[in-house]
Amino acid sequence: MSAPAFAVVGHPNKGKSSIVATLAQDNSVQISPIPGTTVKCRHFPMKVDGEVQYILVDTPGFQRARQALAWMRARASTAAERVNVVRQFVEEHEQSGRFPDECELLKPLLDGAGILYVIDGSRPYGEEYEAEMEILRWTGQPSIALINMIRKDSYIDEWTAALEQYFKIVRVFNAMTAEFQKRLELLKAFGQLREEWQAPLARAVATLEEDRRARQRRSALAIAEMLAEMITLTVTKRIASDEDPSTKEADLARDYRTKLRKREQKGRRQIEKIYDYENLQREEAEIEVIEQDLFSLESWNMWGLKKNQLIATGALSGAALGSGFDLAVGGASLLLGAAIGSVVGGTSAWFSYKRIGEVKILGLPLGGQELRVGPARNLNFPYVVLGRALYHHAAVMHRTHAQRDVLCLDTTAEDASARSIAESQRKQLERVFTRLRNSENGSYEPVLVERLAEIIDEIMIKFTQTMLTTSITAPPRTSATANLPSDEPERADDQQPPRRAAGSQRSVD
Amino acid sequence: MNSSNVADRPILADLVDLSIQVDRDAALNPPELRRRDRPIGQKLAHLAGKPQGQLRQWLREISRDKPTQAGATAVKTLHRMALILAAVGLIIGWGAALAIFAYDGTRPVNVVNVLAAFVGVQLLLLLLTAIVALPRNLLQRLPGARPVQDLLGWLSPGRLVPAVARYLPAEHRLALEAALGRHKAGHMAYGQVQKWLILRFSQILAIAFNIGALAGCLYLVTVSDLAFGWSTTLTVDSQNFHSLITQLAWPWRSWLPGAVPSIEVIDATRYFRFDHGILPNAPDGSADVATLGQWWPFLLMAIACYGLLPRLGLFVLSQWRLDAALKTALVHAPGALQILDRMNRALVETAATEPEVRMKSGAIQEVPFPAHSLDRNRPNAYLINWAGINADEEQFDRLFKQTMGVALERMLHAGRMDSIDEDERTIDEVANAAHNPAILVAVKSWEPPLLDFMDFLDSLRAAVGSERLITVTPIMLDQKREFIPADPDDLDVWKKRLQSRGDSRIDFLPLSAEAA
Repeated sequence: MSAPAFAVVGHPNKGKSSIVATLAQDNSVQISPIPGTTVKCRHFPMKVDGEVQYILVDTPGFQRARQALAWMRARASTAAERVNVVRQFVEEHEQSGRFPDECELLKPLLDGAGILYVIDGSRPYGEEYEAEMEILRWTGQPSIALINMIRKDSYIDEWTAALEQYFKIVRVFNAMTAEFQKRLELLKAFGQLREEWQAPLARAVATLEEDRRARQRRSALAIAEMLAEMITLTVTKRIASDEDPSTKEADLARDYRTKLRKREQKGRRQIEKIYDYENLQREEAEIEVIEQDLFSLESWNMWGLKKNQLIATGALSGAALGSGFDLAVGGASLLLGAAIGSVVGGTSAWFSYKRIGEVKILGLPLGGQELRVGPARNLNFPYVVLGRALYHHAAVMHRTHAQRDVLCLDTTAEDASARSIAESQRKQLERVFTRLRNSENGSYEPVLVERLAEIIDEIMIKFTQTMLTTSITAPPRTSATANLPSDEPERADDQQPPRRAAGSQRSVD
Repeated sequence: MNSSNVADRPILADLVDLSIQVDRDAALNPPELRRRDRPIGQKLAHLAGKPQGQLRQWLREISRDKPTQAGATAVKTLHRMALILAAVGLIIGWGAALAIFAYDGTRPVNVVNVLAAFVGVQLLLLLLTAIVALPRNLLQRLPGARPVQDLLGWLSPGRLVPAVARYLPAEHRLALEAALGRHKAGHMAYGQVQKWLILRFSQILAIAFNIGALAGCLYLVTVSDLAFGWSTTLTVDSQNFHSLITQLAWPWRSWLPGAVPSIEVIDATRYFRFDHGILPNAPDGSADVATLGQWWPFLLMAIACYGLLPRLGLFVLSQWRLDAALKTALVHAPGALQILDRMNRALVETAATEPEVRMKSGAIQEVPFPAHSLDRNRPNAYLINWAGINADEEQFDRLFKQTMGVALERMLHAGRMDSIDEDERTIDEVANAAHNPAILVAVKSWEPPLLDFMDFLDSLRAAVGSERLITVTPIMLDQKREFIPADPDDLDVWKKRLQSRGDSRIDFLPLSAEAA
């Protein structure tokens, strides 16, 4: 049995392409305010490991529905003849070029595709729609009507009254704001159109749910990796022992901040790619790092020994000498020689350590000072990074592929998102953060990242639900990619995705 | 390649290749990677739950077309380094044996000296190695142990490897650096590999040293007659020394009594430098001189038991830990989890299979609208209500009087569901109006201009002639059916579509905000 197909049909400019973009999670769908953008059918098969579960077909809009219906009416006298007349219509006009759009959109229906008839419920109903609804009825295919809410006005009642006369199922579906669950419900509804479609659609829904979870886990891992790298990030610069370190601090701090920012940006892109957003434009305040406690001054020497290593060397060599003494007195000193020797050796190394910087061989200093920025010791830093990442993740997750505007992220909401982490999870996080902060030279155990990813995954599940109810206060912004500026306020329903700018919401087929 | 080949290949080689492959993959898109890796994952379904096996087999599959040599080169380089270290160890061991067992006949070889060099120092070094080998989290509990471990790790002879590597050809050096995870040194998984790799190298050197020492000792014993003695400034009598020696010989004294010097031998072989190398207690007679050489089985056994054996043990340990670290590193290497995820998760695709075909827009030539010139001298107008705008004639009359100063003489309908005939009747009526009234066409601004409407305009134009002005006015109604200004976006769509007709006698007159 071939996979069920659903043709998204309707009037031009009513959001057919938006619905396809949202359901197929495909950014490549052209959403344009110029009517007639879609001239050819485009197929969006939903495949699991290459096996097609269902196919969505984006079609051009009706352009001459009245004329087409008049042609058909003139040739069919009984209801039984209607499908054949539609077929005849397509065959006859495919060559003539008189009805290119109608032929193109009717072909998949004649091949057995179910009908998803899309109208804009924010605009008044008009009798000119009846011709196309009648033609669709003539095809004899199972159908569902989708009331797409492009704007805030609502003419749902008058539309429902009209649509119910032609379609068995009528649903309101906002392509811009449709939650993932809403999309799945819609797919389940497609399955109701025909009994044999139920099983493949149910399978597809289950797979999509599973895929969604997998994407969330991938995101958690990506965020955990970013977090670990950002926490342990250090930037160092060697300076001569007679140089004033404070003169280098500004440069080094800038370098550090740039690196932090770059890593965060990389993390953002990773998350967006996980949810199939390529080149998503984003506006977000840069991360602020409190400079307190950021700098540390360490000495270095040409042997690469750290201070404590050098002290240990001193202690060891002292102990070796002391042991010689112990041996000489036949152990009568009760290893006191070794103990004293190690203390003396260690102490002398402590004192001589700073002086190494002043010794030169062939004009090259043997040691000096090393100015270091990071790791960020501020206890709040990881939470700020995590809060921002969680907020961004939720925003991306709730976005639909029909939206083509800039993703705007709000700082206050980001802060709130960090605060919303439960106490028990905060404790678990703190344990990992502490170990990360204390790791040397930024080398941390990979297990830490995996543990972190687990905690973040748990937080995400809670977070994505709670953040929906938080602030939706940003002023709408105009997209750089949208063709038409729009200053319309956003729909204030509870399906609102987080803090999204309203760009051009128009779509034309 | 079958899975037995996977087992044959050193994990280290796979680890290096994996890290190189992950770097290569960074340039590819996630969907691309998923499409590539999922079929491999399905093929390796029998390895489900064995991440290591999956990763290694995945590498085989990936590198089938463009095999990478880096892993193999790294392993080869490390083998070469091990050989060099072994050779160095042998030479040093041999040299040390020759030096310490040197006997020119003037003074016997001091057993204390031999024990100090080959047992004492070795045990000390062994202890240090053991400290380095301790797991890090255990060390965290011992104050001050961490820096000692760091230092010893730094001093370990295995550290020579990277230093020596500097003089290797570039290809080998890079492979080695990849093996030691230099470019990903920040990753602890590689850190453990590095630690055990270095420790294993240290053991190779030490084993070779001990073998060299044993061989040197045997050689001297074979080709020369050695006289052993013992001498110390400390107040140790033969009895004490004998019990010390017996303790030292504990591992072998039960099964190899010949290698434990008797009290007589010990007593006989004590000497003082004061006596110019002469053994005062030594028995006379050449037959008994042989006793002086009886020390050598003991010394050989001491070197073997306290030098060679522990090192062999440590070598086995470090090899075992290295394997474990390599296995862990492979599964926890950066990017490995992602590879496993790509292999084991169903590949879900929803995107389009064909590219979008777009309307050709280049050829459209836009014609400017005429200056709004609805004739003042034509006070009456015919209004065509396109597609049944839900407003009555009176409403329209008020509107057009206000905005254009024209009175509606008639309102006709077109574009309605009823039939195409109605459109034709409307066109006829307009064309046949004797007094040539102004022609107004009201359209719904919120509906896009369809070809149906364009066809109607064509017919209307043909009927009224090319010079009659046709004014198109997009209308917008609110929910109370009052006129309101149309959405500028909608107007823009209408304007562009009408301009693209190339008809200079079509005017476009949207309602201003005041008018509405």
